[in-house]
Amino acid sequence: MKTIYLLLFLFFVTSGVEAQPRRFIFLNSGYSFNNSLQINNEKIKNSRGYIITFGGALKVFSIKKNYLSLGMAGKTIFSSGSRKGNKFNASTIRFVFPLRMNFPLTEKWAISTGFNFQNNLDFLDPDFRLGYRYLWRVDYSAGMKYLLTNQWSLTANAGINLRNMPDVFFLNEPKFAVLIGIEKQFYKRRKTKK
Amino acid sequence: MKNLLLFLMLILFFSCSKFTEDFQLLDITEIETELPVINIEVNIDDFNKMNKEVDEEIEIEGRFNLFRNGILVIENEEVELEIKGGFSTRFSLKTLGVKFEDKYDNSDRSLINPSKILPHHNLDKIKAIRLRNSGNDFVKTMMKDLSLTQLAINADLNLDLTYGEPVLVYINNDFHGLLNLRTEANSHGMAGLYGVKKDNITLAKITTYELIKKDGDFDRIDAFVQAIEEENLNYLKEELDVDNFIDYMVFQSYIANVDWPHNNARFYAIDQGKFRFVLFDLDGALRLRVNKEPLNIIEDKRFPNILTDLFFIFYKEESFQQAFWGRYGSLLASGIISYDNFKPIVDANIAQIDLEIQLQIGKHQAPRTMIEWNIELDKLLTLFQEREQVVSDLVE
Repeated sequence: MKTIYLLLFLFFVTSGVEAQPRRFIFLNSGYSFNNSLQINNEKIKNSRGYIITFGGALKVFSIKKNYLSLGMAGKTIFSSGSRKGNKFNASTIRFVFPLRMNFPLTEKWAISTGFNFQNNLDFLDPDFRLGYRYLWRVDYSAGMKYLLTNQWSLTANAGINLRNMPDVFFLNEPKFAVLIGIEKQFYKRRKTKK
Repeated sequence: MKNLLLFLMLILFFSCSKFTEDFQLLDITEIETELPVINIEVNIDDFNKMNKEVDEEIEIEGRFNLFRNGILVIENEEVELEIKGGFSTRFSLKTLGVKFEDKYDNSDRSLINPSKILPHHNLDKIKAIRLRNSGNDFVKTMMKDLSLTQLAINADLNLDLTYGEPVLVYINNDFHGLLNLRTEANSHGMAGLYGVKKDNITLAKITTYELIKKDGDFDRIDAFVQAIEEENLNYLKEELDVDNFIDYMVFQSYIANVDWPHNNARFYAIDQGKFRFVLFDLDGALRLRVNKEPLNIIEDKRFPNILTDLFFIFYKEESFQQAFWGRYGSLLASGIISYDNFKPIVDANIAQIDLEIQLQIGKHQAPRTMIEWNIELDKLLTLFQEREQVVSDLVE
């Protein structure tokens, strides 16, 4: 699996520098779902969630028009489902590191691809240790961006979990997600001569 | 941007999840339990003080009653009660040590009635029991230690351990909680298992911070520890029951107990017999390091301890290595410690308490919801399955 991550990353990295944003803040929201899930021998029905993510990112480096960004974000997931006919809800807060390669296609349109790394356990969970096997969740994410104004963009993303983990870890946050949002870009200020 | 960073760091700190459900929890009056029911009559002020001041090691008197299938089988036995445990004394429902005034005659299995007793053990006379809150598993499954111990019993391992079953406990006729009735892992417990007096037992316990000489011949314990420090293998071979030691190390490393070997370890001897290790408190198993090699579990680099040292003194010998891995191989090949044998134990334990756990949730919010209980049970089984696979691959 690690090889696949590396190959995907290298595949999208090609190589110059143009006027690019240096920092971003973003807010997105969307729907997530599981196709099948089983907890303690019982199927979970209607397992789904609503996601809100807010965070920021920095351009790490650029190659021609394309650039790599690394961010930090807070994510809230309101998930629900039912087991043996008993409905449950979960509200979860997670910390996300989005790493993505951005490819401007035209002046208005860009696509991006990358990975979201996020904690999979509560930080107050007695099992929380850096060595815990399922501490991290890794989602592959692909999306597109439409520049509305000089600084504001509309975004759309789809994500899928890549790690092979026990079903219990998908109750709080389902495997598949579709998100839309907005992004504000900050450009480097240039001194102007009078 | 700095403010954003600060905001995100706060999220990191508060990163959490909270479950709610529309499950209608049953009330105590709505359950016809098949579990044994214990009612202890106490002076409630003394009991509350003991519960509140857990570090004071307060002992109080009480009268012990036990019902099986609604029939009173133990009536008004005089007992001494004491709060037991370490970190788990911080939970709302604490572990209670119960010591009978005289040894209780359990030959009719009225006090404790396990489905199976190892052939070298005897449960006819019991001086003390523990009503255990399941330790660090209290907010999780309430059955990890019980289920793993049952697996060891079913596998007929050469071990000394604690027997148990879940019970509902009342204090002065008020529902107190769902606890696990366990035999003791101390000198009383070992004396009971072998039908000897407590005075015949020499016992020491290994905790994270120190070795505590509890009972018996302290000079012999000192000599044993000194032999470990001096790596005096010949002396250790004379003093240690090696077959028991191998089974003990195999089982603990197989279940990846991370609250061990620096802690939760005890060794004892009867009179001048060889030292044996006692299997107890397995709540730290199957949590964090299920993908680690057995030797890595035993090595425990975080906390130097004499049990790790003792093992690696023996492990230098090729014959011991062969015996250790041979035992691993034969147990795995036989399937007696496999997932296929573990799952029915957990399923049976779930069936025993799946109504009563609702009372625990209602009173102690531990676990907080039924869905969280099921999540933890699922994790227990999933991690066991993974562990079996990891160890099987390594041993092959």
